[in-house]
Amino acid sequence: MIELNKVTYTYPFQKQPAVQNISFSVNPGEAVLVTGASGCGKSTLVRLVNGLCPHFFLGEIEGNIRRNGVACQGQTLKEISTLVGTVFQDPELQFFAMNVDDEIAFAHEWLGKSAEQIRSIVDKTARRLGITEILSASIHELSEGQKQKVAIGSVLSLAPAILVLDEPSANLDPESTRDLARLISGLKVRGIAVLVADHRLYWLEDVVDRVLVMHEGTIAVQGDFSILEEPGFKEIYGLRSHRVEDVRQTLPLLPDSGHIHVENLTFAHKNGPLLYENASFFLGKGVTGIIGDNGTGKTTLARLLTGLDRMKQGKIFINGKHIPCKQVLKRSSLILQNTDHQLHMNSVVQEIAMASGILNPGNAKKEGLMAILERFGLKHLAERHPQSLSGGEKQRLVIACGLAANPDIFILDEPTSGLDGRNMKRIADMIQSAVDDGISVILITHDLELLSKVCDAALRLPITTRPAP
Amino acid sequence: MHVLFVAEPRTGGSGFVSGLDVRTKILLSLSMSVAVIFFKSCGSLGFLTLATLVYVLDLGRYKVVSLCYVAICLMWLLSIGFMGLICTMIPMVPVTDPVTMLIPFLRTMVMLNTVLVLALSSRIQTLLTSLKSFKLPIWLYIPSAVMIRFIPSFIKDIRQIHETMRIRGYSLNPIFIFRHPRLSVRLMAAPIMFRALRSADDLGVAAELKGVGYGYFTENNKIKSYTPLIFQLNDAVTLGVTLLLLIAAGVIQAVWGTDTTGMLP
Repeated sequence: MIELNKVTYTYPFQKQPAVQNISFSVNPGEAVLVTGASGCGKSTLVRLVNGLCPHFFLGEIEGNIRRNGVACQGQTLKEISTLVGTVFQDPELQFFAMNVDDEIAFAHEWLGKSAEQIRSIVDKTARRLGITEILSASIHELSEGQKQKVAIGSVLSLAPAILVLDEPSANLDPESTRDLARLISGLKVRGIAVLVADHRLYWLEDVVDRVLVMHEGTIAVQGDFSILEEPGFKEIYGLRSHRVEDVRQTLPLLPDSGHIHVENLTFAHKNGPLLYENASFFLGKGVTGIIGDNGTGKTTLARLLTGLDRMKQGKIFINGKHIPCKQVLKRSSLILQNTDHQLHMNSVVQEIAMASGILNPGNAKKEGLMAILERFGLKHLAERHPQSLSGGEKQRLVIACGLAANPDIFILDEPTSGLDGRNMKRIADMIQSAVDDGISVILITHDLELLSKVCDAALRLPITTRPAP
Repeated sequence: MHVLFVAEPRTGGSGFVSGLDVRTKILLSLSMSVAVIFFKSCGSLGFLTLATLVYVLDLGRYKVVSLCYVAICLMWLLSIGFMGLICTMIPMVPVTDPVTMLIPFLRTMVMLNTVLVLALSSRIQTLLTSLKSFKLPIWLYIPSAVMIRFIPSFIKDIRQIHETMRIRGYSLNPIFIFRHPRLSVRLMAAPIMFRALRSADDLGVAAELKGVGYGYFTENNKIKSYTPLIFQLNDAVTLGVTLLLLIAAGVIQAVWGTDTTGMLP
């Protein structure tokens, strides 16, 4: 059981508290959803429950937190970690070991359990979560859904009374998200208190008992799931839709002509079977969603279309002109999910300049760069350090950088992962703006809301071979 | 799905080196690190570099190893260039020949080869248990193990940053580095620094939430690896060969070694 009573917490070197006067409880066998716009204090709330605030992040705390009836005072983080299990948005970040079985065994080894006990726990956990066949796999080989299961398995093997899930659906496909919902329902039956902090809401309708909506560090509204149905509610609090249509099967097929033509694409990974064989298709000037199960080659196709990987055989034509593989990289842009790897410069305006190929922006060129920033609503951040921006702002900046290079093919990989409703709409507007400029946009996403908002056609994998016209 | 998170080689592998006991790898790494302080001739250090290169190549991670070697060679060439520049500007500084300047880099290569084996083929918990079996204090062996655990994440980050630069149309070739040295450093260093800080923070949080150190402070003070440590014939052979290699390097130094650079006079 989790109980927070009038809790106020302030991070070190901050004047304003991150959360104020928070009171709520989660009973055993109950699941509670915490949601709200980015920066509303959701993550801090999660950290308060799992003890990272104040034990790891330090800072000042007022009020009382009780976990399983035990007051927080005098408890160390290591003691709290035996009561509360936490699973983060990107489970890979919390993996300490490099293999699945090692990861599940890791915490038990520290508890001094015997090798036989640990082996039995690892096997039992793997059976319960259906991950027996991947027990010896490297964590880097797993799909996002499998990683999530391993992270949850590793936490549940310690038999915690409380489970905290921070943005658990952000990297999951809809099928894995449904599996997760079923898993949480099962945990409730076992009497575990579950706290879920998430922006995506649709998958939790039949799972959570209560919803807490946070706004500027306080709990603004709480009630059952139906509070999300009130007109204008999600716009006020910057939330996502609570009901989302799955358009993956209803989106139109690719057109029979278009300004990008891929002909006889053949590719296989080193020592692997053929992933594509003589696949030909056209991409029109709109948004194409790449849709397919894990392992069908969505990632590889994106890499091939940007020229990062070389086709074994095949050609790419842009506006009827054959573009050699080396040149494709110059005519395309790829936006990765992890923005940290893509930000290099001292300021937002320099970042845009670098992406435009301008190494020394003079005043005249700077005006043009500012115009780009203004177009994407980033002008007021021009002199800020890119790494100091919020998650949504960073994502908008890397998309603006991708578009500043005037690509013919623009590929986005999970651009709205972990973003709230307001930021998702902004990203959707940027994508629409790229389409208006005549760019072929390709979207790899599990975000059903974004797919239904912007996608015009679907490229379904595996590609059915059809002869080139 | 992350576009650049394509399947990677498994940690470890099934070769001879991967099957060695972690304690053997630690001892080998330590003995080589100590030896390179005392060996100062190009011949003996070159010999040890070749021997440890064979050792690391058994893992099959050829790309990672070659990238590390390219980076070290670049640093060597840079140091030769700067040394030449200093000698031109200040004639009283004696000219150091390129082979002599290679010696500190040979030392780095020997240590790199042995540490890479440790990082890429060892279970973190086995490593922790092994370090503990050497009776090291907790404040020394937990950070050491975390540092070694950090190496695969670091390699992955470098790969992603490199590909991001390719996407943006920047290639860190010698011409670009020569024309834009500051920008080259920034393109690579800025994201690496922020990623390293974030990774360090994430690993710290993960370690805390998994109760790292919990057993150490409890009464039974037991930390057990569920994969038992087994010292086999292969380990004895490896340590024996290591000893022979060190003796051979000593002989090379004694017979042919005339260089006097390094930490000792």
